[in-house]
Amino acid sequence: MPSSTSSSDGLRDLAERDARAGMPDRDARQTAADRPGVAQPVPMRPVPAQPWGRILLGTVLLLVLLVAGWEEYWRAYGVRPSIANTFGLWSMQRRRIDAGEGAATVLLGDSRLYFDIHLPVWERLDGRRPIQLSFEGTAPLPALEDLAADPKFTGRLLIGVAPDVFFSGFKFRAAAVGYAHKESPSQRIGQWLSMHFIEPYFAFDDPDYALQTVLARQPWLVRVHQRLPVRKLAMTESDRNTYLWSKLETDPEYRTIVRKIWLNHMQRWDDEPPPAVALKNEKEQIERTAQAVAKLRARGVKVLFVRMPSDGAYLEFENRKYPRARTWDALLAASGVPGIYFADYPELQGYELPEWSHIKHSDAERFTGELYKVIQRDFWGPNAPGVSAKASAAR
Amino acid sequence: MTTMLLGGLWHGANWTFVAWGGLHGVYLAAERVLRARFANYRPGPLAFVALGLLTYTLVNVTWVFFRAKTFGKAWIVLRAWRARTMPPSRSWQTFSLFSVAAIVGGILLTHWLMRARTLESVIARAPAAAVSMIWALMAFAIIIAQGAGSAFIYFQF
Repeated sequence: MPSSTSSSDGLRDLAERDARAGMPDRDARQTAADRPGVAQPVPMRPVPAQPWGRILLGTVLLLVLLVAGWEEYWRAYGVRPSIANTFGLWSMQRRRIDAGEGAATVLLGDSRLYFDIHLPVWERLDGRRPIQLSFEGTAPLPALEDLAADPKFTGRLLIGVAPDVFFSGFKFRAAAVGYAHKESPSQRIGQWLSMHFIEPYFAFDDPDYALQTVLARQPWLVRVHQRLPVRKLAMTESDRNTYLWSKLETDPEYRTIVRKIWLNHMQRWDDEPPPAVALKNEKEQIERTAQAVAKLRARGVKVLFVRMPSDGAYLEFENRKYPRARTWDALLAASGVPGIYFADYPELQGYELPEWSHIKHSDAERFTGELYKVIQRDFWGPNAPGVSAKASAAR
Repeated sequence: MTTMLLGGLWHGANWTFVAWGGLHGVYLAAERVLRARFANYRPGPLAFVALGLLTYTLVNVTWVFFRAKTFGKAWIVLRAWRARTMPPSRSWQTFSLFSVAAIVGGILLTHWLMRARTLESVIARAPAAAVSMIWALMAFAIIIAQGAGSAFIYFQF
């Protein structure tokens, strides 16, 4: 037994004090095995003699100091409170369709449609605020099939096409669809409490600054070459209005980090399917999208694809790996609906994309207005030419 | 054995949970048999540690079945224990190995230090300031770790 003399003395003192107080031996650790045939007694857990009031006060004060310090540390880094981009938040928007807003405009895509379209700008022009159902790093197909199967949705649908996500069928956060249908009351309450009482006030409450995430990105020895995790990119509001975080504009070092992450993702990884399988998968994504779109159009939903701007090394990678003729053109042909390809419209070009993939906040507001005007002029507006005629003209 | 099998089933309607319970039942039965057979055996310090590690390893096998959704997936994990069958993208980085070692090491150390005393006796002897500090640090760690879900697990049934 390695226990020290002083500790044994302490135990004895305590036992004696307990015996004086008529209390059972505090240190005794007995189990049913020590009393064969005797029922397990109700365990006695006497509260040790300590100044509990002072201890509690000290704990609370110290905890407040620690949390305030942590919050201050992240605010100094440029982080500000943002509503967490959770499945619960997505579910709240998805429910709007079944709660009387089935005729609304729905935005469904990846991070580009998510960060680059500004709901307040759209609302100012259109009179109604769209429902944002995009998710970063996630192909729209699972949510699209879910909408196609929901007869309550009869509105308009703008589908974002970021080639690498859309045609690979990447499903980073597609589980949100299943979550929205099965969300339990406790999950709903948790979402509500968190977005009202925690997220608006604490900047550090962002997955990118969780203790494990912060520790994991320290310069540890690299054991296996892996994809770099994506860093914080955007700020989100309570109805999922989302925009690129200003740090991407103001901090060149952070911008470089994010660009390096994209370059890292563009490498060939061992978990990617071989080229033949990838091509087959691409065709399947297009086919399933066309089927879902056909279902939606059959009940009068207006569908429009949009290829949002990208730039620099990201655009080069997309053009090389997902050539427009094989992917975008095939998608429009198979689904028979029109699309807006940013490179075809002068008004959708010339915006600043700090990390090549998303438009900076102020530019994205202007971009939203321009995109809305194109959509109204050529596709959805009362004076738009025949939709099918424009679809062929646009290409 | 029945208790363990039902205990397994209580955790979820899947045969993998039954396997988890069944393995525990088999272990307990084996322990009874061995205790009767080697009633006078007292392990030396080396054997003591070795037997502890053996128990730990055997229990870890059961948890694979608890966590895996199918037996197929359980085999994949069990196979990966003896050879590097995982592609690099599924392998663990240094930090993950370090954090598991730190947590498991911490648990073992705590159990070793606390094996002959109660929490109450330790707190009774600790200076009040130390109790405050440890409580605050634990609460702080919980807050900054954030956690994935806020819902209590037993609400999910």
